[in-house]
Amino acid sequence: MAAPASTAVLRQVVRQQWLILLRERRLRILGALVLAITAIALVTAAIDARRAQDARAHDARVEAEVWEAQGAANPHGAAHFGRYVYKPVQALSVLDPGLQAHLGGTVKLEGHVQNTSRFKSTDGGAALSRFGGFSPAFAMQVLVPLLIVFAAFGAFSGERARKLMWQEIGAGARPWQLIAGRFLAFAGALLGVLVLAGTLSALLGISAWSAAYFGALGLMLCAYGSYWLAVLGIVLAISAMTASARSALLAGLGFWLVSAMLAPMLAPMLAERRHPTPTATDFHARVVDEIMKGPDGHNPRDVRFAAFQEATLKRYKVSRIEDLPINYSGLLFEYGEKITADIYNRHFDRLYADYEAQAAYSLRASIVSPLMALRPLSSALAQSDLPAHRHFLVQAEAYRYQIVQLLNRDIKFNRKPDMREYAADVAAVTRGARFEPGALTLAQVLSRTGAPFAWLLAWLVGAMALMRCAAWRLEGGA
Amino acid sequence: MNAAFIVMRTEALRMARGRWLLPLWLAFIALCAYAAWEGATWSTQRGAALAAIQDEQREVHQMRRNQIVNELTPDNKSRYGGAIYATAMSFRATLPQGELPVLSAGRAEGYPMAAKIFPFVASNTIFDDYMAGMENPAVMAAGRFDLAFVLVWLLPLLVLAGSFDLWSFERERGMEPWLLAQPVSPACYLLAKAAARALLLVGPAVLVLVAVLCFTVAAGPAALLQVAVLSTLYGLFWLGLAAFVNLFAQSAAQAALGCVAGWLALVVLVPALALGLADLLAPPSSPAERTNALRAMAMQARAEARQQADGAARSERVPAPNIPDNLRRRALEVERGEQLIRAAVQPYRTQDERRLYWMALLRASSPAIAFQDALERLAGADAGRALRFQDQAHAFLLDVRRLTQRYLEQDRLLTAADYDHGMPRFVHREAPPAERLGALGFDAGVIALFLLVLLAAGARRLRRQTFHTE
Repeated sequence: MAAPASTAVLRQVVRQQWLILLRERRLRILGALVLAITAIALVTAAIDARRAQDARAHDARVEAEVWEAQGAANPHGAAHFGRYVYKPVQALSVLDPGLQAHLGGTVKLEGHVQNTSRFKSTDGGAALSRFGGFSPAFAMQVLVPLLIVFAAFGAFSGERARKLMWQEIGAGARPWQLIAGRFLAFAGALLGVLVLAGTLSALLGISAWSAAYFGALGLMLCAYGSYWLAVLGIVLAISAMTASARSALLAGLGFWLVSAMLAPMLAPMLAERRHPTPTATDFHARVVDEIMKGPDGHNPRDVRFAAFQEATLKRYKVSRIEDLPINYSGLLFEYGEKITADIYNRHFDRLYADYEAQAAYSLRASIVSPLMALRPLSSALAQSDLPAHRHFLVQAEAYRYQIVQLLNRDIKFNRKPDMREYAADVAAVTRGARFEPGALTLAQVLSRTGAPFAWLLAWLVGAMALMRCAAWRLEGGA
Repeated sequence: MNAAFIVMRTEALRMARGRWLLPLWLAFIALCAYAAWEGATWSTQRGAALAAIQDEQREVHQMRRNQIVNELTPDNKSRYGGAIYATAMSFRATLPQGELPVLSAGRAEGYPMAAKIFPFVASNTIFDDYMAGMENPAVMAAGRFDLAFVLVWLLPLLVLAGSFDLWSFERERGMEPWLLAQPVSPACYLLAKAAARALLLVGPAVLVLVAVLCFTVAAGPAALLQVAVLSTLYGLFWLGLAAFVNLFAQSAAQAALGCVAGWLALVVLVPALALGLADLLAPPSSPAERTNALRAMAMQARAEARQQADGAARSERVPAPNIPDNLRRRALEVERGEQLIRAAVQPYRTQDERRLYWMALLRASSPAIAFQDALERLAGADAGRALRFQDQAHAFLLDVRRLTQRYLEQDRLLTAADYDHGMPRFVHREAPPAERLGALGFDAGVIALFLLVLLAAGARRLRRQTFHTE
């Protein structure tokens, strides 16, 4: 009797597995549950994002009104009063909110100081907050793999599945064809989930549609697809290698527990230990210490300004401060601001370099968990990660520096020596400066996605290899 | 009684002979030890940060005292306003760590740990400097691997992994009819088997926990006893769940599936749903909106002060007072500002209180939430303690303002003696023990209630005699 054609066998196995999947009530319920959770999380996240965007637009409007309401005020006092800027919500953060809850979407801009962002949604709360809420990313990163474990652990293990497998092998099918066929059947189901999630995301983000949006969304879906297929491959291989359904389930759950729960929690902590960052108190103490070592911009009599004073007098070709055509205090404010901004920039650059080192260290945990590669990749594409936040902070700092220096220059050019108190229309002085933060371009994001993508592909290839090994073992058994 | 003891002993012997028990214990010990080490590191860092904040206050006071003693003369008084005017007094209020800080970081990172207090500072800004942390947001998002995580999330898995086949094992091996033919009731079998698992799974886990705590922190016996009782109760609940699932499961695989589904539902899904419900019923107030409202109030207070200053005929007093009159005018502006702040903040405060009320209530939706809440209270890292600190820091600011007012009225300057022992000191007052025990009792009650529900449902199932016929 001629051996059945390879593709025909594969088709048959896929069809049969599809039937088994459809007949299994437990899986239907689980699948529907995960789909419903993902859909509800997506819709809720979209509503929340819309609400947050509207709230930030409203807050920005009110903040501008408060700034305008100052009227005539001392420009340096106004610099201390400061302004607030609000981070725009990125369209794809609906799908993966990444670190957003821990980053804060508001920054206070004021003279002499670079503040970190504030008003994190994790501030406050109670014990319940420790558990975290749903997000589509949580469903797709944690719940779908669990569904895969439940759905596929019994593909080859267990008495019934094992008997069926030996019957199929006896009928001429090769173990590799059986494994590949079941893999394709499950992959088809997962593809359906992926397409549904992608379509729903795209429909909810209709206002942000652009080539970059679809590019990022497409890459995200590819990443999730690779992740799910890698998990599926591993669970199928476990199932094929383990005769007992109980052992297969426990091994699958063990893999899920380590890769989806423990590794994502332990890796960042170990990375923090490897590349420690200062506490807020230490950070500010170091910055303030360095600033205090420099001249005090509020005090023109500070002897540490001697060289600067001499250079200024020389530049304006006068011998006394009183003869300067500009206000010397304003000039000192301007000069002092540059010094403090440089100090802050240097310290923040160092801090973010440490964060980057931690991220690189965490990525190494991809060796035990594909999720450790997927997470940074997904949040990078959604622009809800730390580099995207830093991009916003850098723009906010540029704006802060611009408005503070505009106010300082107003004193420099307009305050006359005989004025005991000086006030200017600070809103008019700073009207030329506008804050319009832009998102990272897709090209900028892509440069950070190479390594995580490579890890995911390595996992996929590894899972295929494991499936192949399982097939060889079954061939040996047959 | 005798039969139950025999079943229990047999079950314990079988477990002890099993190759899985020791690795489970070792894994739990390793996880506990690592979590305690992480907790101790975190606690040490936080302690150092708190000490540094208190040092700031000491250094400022020391510097000012030295200025008064060594540099101040009747002619240069105006240059040392910071040292001699009560309006420039500078204080720090800190929230000390609780009795068992290694247990959980809890909400400690979500609330300010200190306040910077000056008489003229706006009361809504005293915590600003201590709100933003520098921890990597990725670490914060991953969550702290503390003992609370091990207990709330992983202890159930340890208990379920060791007891998911409590009865389904017998069913799968075909021993069920034989066992039920003996003159021992099914309930007796189940309870005896569960007791053996409690003895070899929950008991050692609690002992390990207490040992780790004794090793890492100097806690009193009452606190340790409370942790032990709550952990035992929580472990017993999961054992009850495993027993309950076994009343229905046809096979060990099915029982494992049921146990994992129960864990997933109670530890992951229900808390997430409860949080969603809290967001729906009582959304958090918007801090950005509140800030804008307060800034507008500050503008209003400034405008009113300017108007008053423009209207009033300003005459300099002769002889000039020790404390300049502009500081008295500023004190009035601050008082007016405080009135406006209080009015502006009230709606947001009410909204936040409502949210916390709902969050506290929703902890009854899962034993995992209730247990987490109890551990945070025991660690001194709960929201209630943080809010009590905020109230006390705010009250301290008002005390400092009243003291400043007395100095202004008496036109009195600060002296070296004031810096030596006349300055007020912030001391955090803990909640009364009855209130603390009441909250812990509520959490324990929630876990016990869930356990009782499982027992009642299990007893009902057994009474209907479907246990051995399916």
